[in-house]
Amino acid sequence: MPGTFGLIWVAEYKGTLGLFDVPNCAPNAQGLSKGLSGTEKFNVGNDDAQDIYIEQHGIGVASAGKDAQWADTVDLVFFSGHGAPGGMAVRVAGKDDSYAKASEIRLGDGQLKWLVVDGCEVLQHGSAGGGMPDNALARWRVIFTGLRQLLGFATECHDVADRGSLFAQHLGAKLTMREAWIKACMETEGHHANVRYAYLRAKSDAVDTANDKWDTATLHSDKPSPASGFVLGTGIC
Amino acid sequence: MSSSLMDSNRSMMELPPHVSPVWRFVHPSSADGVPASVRRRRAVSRYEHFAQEFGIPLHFEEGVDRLMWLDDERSLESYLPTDSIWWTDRLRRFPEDPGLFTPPNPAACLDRAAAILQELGLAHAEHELGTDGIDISLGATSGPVGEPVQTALTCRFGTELDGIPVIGPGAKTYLTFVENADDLGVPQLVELLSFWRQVERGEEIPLIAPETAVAKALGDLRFHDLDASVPRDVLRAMLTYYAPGPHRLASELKPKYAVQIRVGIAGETGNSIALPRTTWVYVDAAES
Repeated sequence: MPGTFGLIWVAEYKGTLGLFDVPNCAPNAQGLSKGLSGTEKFNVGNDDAQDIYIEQHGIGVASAGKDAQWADTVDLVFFSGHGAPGGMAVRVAGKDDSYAKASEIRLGDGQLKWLVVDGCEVLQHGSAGGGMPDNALARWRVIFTGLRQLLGFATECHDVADRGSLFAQHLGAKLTMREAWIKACMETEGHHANVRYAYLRAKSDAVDTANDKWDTATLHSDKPSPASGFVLGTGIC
Repeated sequence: MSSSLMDSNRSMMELPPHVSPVWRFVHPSSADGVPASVRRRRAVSRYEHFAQEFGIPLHFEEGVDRLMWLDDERSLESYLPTDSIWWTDRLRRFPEDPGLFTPPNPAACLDRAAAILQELGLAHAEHELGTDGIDISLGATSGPVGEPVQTALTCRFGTELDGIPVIGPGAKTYLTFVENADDLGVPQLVELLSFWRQVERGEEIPLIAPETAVAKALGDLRFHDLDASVPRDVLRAMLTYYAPGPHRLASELKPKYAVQIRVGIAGETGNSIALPRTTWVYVDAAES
């Protein structure tokens, strides 16, 4: 059976921290909301979205993480907004530090299996700051405490309104998680921008996540934790 | 306007075209008077043609925006709104073990790709854009991570109309190859996607000047809340036709300026995370 999911999105950054608006993030998230089978447990955007919904309590300098009440209570989280090599910008300063950083995220010790970041550069090799590794796999593997896959981009990407609905459509057609994501990315990016899709998945001796599907989400209760390794894949959109 | 724009696009800035044709889709959307049944008949015909080419059953599932068939090994999609097709060898398209795969030779892949496009009658994909790898990195839970290894190669093709590139997700043709384990040196096709709409020339329309397009791009609504002190620099500006995705209804290709803008925020926030700095703005090039 399909599982539960949550949406966190930010379209209006209102210039905070030099971030321009990404207006399509709102319809993008709502497209997933309408198209994905299963149960939506939260759908928070703009002023209501907070980085602490994704971060682990007690980790980091700003350590108010509440993933145990939010991200880690569902099977899939879809974030749509500004991304960067080190994490996701979740709204304005004044709420924690407004960045959900790899160094402060630990997911899957609760329920979460798949984190989708529809934003730029999260899985890009490059400077992430804050003492985080430049290598994308080394930077993000720390968040996998039961999480199965992280889907995103290895470059900048376009702010589009329909990637979420396409992703939902492909999951409904029983494609695997990474296939569905790759297809949705390739259908929404042009050749001129050289955008690269990316996925990072955990594997363990007992659990293979390569063929994860949404229609059997509730069956994936076994966790690739402790992981025996990780696979980072990227390709042109 | 930055000097980089003038440097990298000097010919365009000095000799911009004054007019450009609209290109109408030969089989436009039902919104333009063509019944959905006509589009469906074309999608079925296209599906059957490629199903025979790739040895796939002639029956299919009806999707929201496409006809589709898949099993554990292969998939084929024929889009309803456009003249687009997507075939995938699902077993070989996602290789993850670098030890098992040798990256195919780019020149051999491009030669093979050109031959396949000719065989399949995909003549619109005549503009070679180069090759890109599908890269895999492996790592343990700690310690060093292996360098990315190329396991497959994607050959990219595009289309130009009157010398103007057609960009956007609805105008690209990609062929992805892996090394053929049984016949080394002969690239094996594992995916072919061709996103396109057949077009015919429409009326010519006058265009705005590139400088006007750049000014409009810099004034885009998404930048309105930025503090005036945040620098914005134009990296590229090019005259294009923009094609929406293969799943989208549209009736014509209109000229647009694609303007890439860098917003100078890195290192200015005092935060440890470098945020994205560039974005594309697409400005209608038609003089209204």
